[in-house]
Amino acid sequence: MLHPYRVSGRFIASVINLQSKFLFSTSITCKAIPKKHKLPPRPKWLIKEEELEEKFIKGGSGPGGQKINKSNSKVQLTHIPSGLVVECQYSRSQESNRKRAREIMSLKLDEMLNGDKSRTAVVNERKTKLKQSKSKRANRKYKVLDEERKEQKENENEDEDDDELDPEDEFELFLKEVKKE
Amino acid sequence: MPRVSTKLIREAKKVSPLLPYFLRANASLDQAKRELQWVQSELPENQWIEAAKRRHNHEPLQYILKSQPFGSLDIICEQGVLIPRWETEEWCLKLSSVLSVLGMKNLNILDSCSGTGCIPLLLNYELNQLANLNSRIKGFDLSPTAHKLSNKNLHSYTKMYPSSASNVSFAKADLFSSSLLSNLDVRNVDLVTSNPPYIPPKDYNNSVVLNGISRSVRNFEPSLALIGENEFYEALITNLVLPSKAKGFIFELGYQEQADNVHKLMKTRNWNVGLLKDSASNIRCVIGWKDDSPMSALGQLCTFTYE
Repeated sequence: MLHPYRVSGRFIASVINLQSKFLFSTSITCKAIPKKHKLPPRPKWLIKEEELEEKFIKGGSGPGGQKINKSNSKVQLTHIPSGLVVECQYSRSQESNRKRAREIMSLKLDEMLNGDKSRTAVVNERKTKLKQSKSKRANRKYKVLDEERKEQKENENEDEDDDELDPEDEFELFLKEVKKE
Repeated sequence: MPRVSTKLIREAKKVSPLLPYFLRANASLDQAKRELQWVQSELPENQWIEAAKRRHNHEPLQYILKSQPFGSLDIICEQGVLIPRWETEEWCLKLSSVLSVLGMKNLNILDSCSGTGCIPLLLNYELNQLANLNSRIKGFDLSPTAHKLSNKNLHSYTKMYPSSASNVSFAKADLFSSSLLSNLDVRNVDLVTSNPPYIPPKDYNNSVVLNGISRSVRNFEPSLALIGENEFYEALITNLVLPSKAKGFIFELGYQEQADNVHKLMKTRNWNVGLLKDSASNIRCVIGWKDDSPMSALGQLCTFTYE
């Protein structure tokens, strides 16, 4: 078997390239982007049913029953020890709203308890870092493209300089030729 | 019905060209946005415009989307049959939690005016699918459209939960017929449930502000499932509860007088009668049970009990 280093020159080149990039990197802080599968888990254990107060809000006072056919169902959760309040009405189904409200509540409690290390904080960090790296890559790409374009333009200008002749010079040349004859 | 302001229409147009259609039936922009989102997530794109126009005409969203969540179930809705209400869902869940906490097995439950079949199906899901109580539940309705739809709902339930579906059945029968029980072919009944029509004719034509009903209900939902006063409760008791020797009942209602009337009929027969309010603190159910029967557990549901 051949060693991969010996097989592909391209591989070695890319390694060297990487190293050189690393050596001459200008960025000072070099924090890794949190991996998608290594995010903190959803903090479901923070939800204790006995600490919650649940209310179903059906939009104001009115007759209700057969007289009205409402399609929304709002769930309001209060976490009694901390006083946090969460509302959810994204779905038509009360059951899924109840589940979703508990998810939101657990994330909020996590945020309150763990600060920077909470799931939402890490997820947001990942989001902003992904965005930054994306824009960085885009900037790099367009920088190269811009440079290439500039070079091209300059080259074209030079070519034009070579080709173009002053009409006066041309006339003189013509005169010289006529004189020779 | 107040006119929608041009300012609101302009604001809605900025969000989506379909959104202004949802403003007439909704009180706020936020609610309109939510409805549009549900339409867009549940219907294919080529039906959005038609759905928006139908909603503009005050048609209930449940008929447009053809379904209404009811507890853990999704009930199919069609024009001609009353849409299940959240109040009904609420008392159904309360009732089934009382019955399953006490572990009452092999109950026979009969539901009158079952409409879409939402009450029997949800009770069956909670009691038989989740708590394994092996109750037998039968629903019946006078309307052929309702009977057809309840069987359709049962069919979709069977697909989801085949193990418990055989405990429910639906029939077509008239509550006011004197031979009701023999028509239904039921002998022992423990519990009678019902959501009969309970809107008096005088309130049926009023607007919501005057204690009437909403335009969308009046124009699109069947009056057969809405208009009624005391006659349904009287028929439920004389044709169903007493001859079937049931030990308990729970009926949805909308007025204090209806509950008082039920109490008047039952107190001479030594029944206990109580009331259940919904979470909007409107009077919603009248509940009755016999002393020294397993159904006396229904007393736990009551927020008020007649002396």
